[in-house]
Amino acid sequence: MNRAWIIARKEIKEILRSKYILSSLVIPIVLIGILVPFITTIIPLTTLPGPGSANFPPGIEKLIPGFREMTFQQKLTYFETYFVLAPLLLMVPLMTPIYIAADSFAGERERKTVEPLLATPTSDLELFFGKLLTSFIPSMAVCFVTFASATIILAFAALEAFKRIIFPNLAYVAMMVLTAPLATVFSIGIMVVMSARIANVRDASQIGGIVILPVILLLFGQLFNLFFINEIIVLAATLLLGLVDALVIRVATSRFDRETLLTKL
Amino acid sequence: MPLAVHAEGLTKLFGSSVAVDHLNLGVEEGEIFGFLGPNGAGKTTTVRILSCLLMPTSGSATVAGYDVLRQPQEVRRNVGLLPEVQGHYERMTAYENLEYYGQLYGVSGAELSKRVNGLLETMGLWERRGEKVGVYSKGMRQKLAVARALIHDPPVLFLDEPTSALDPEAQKRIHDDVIALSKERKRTILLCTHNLAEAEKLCDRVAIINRGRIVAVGGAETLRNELWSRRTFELLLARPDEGVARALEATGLCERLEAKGSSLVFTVSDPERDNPLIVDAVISAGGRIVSLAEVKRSLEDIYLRIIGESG
Repeated sequence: MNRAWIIARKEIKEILRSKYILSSLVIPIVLIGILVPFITTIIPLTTLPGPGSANFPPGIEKLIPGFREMTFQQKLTYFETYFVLAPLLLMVPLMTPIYIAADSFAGERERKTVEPLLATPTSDLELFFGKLLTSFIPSMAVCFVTFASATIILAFAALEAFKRIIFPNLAYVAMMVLTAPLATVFSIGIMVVMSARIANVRDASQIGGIVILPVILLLFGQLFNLFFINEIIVLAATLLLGLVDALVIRVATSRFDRETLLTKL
Repeated sequence: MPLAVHAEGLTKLFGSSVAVDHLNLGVEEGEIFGFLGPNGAGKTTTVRILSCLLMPTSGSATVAGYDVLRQPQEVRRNVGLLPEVQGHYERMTAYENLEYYGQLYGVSGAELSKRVNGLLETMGLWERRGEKVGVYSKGMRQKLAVARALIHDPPVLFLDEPTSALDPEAQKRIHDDVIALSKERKRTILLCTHNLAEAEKLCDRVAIINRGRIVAVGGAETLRNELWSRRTFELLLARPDEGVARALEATGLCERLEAKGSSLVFTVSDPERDNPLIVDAVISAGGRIVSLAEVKRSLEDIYLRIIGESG
């Protein structure tokens, strides 16, 4: 597996030299880590009058004990934090690696670097894991920075409204530590398989965008009060993702075909 | 002499199209072997099979003593490949490109630095080792690709058009390196080229491949003798002399005689027997000989005739 690390190290060095890829990594941090939490929590808290009113989704009181007793500002901060922003954070581990992973093999093919690479004594498994690590390391870094940044801004909002920090709860900490890495591996695994079989990076990344569909469903589910992300849901999602990841890696490595990689037009 | 590259009945189909058709090949250790043929003849596919980049549909092959089907990793470790398209990482420097490939081939530490530095110097890239390959000229990229093929000091080298895009000086340097690798270090080199003068200069033997099949194999001299039983000579006189040409014709030894100014070109069936008699006839007719030399059929003549005959 030493060669997998050699590949990942080289590719990450290249990523850091590409303004285009670097910007794709900075966007989630700026957007979801800074702008969205700022606009959805800090701005309303500082501009809306104290005893305001808003139509929160029906049924939310059943999901959140004590919601009815909260002040308007507390309700707003809680809703924006847990029902709008938190699910968005889940999209980061899935979305961030899409371009890098799509580029993994399709990019090598586009730039005609695939032939000398395949001629080296690097095994299929090393190639696959090399590409997987290449996307995993920067994506997780982005994921944690985004989460940390959002947490800090939300802490300011919560201190203003609740006089205490309300985010992250145990479920979201578990989600960041357990579910997010597995979600990233899921996204990358699918993308690497696509990338090895699709001729160019653009097509691979477009088709691969489908991996964020489960999170969009989750987002809507939570917005429409079908459920509220708690420890049990996180645990179930983690277990499910673990199984799916094992399956994706198994399928990806067993179907990895150097010849297709070289001759696919 | 052990065979460094050996193929038997090697066949590769892409769908219903036959790229390589029951190809048999034997390249000896330390030999420079030319692989010639028109575009689409199957040269690149054969090299890709022998480098374990493609699986043969049928047949078998060994490279450096390792089986391409059963020991692909060992084959890859022992082969240096210069592909048709160079394929460098353009955002990386020449040094980083070589270092990366060296690491993938298992070279590390001080040995890796020594090889990278040595190859950059040999290829004349040392001064620009820190620049990104994206700004390199076509010739510099080609030199870097040759260096990459040599980074792990492999016993077998597959070089596809190694001197294309190179200036004459760089071409000569590559030629000298190829000859040194073969003759001094016993490296086996399979050279795919359309440059027939280069093949004639470098190769101990050549194989001519057409439509996936080898249609001729051997040294240029052997192929020449096989194709042309008659040999052609040029006799250069001090001055044009029609009487000499008539005297030569009168000997009845020349199968074909062409007089052009002071040059007489003729074909004989047995030069050892006929040429002394021809020289006597010329002198008797008052001709003053400046030189008598064989008109060699070039590898290009051989190639064109074989490809023409094989359809």
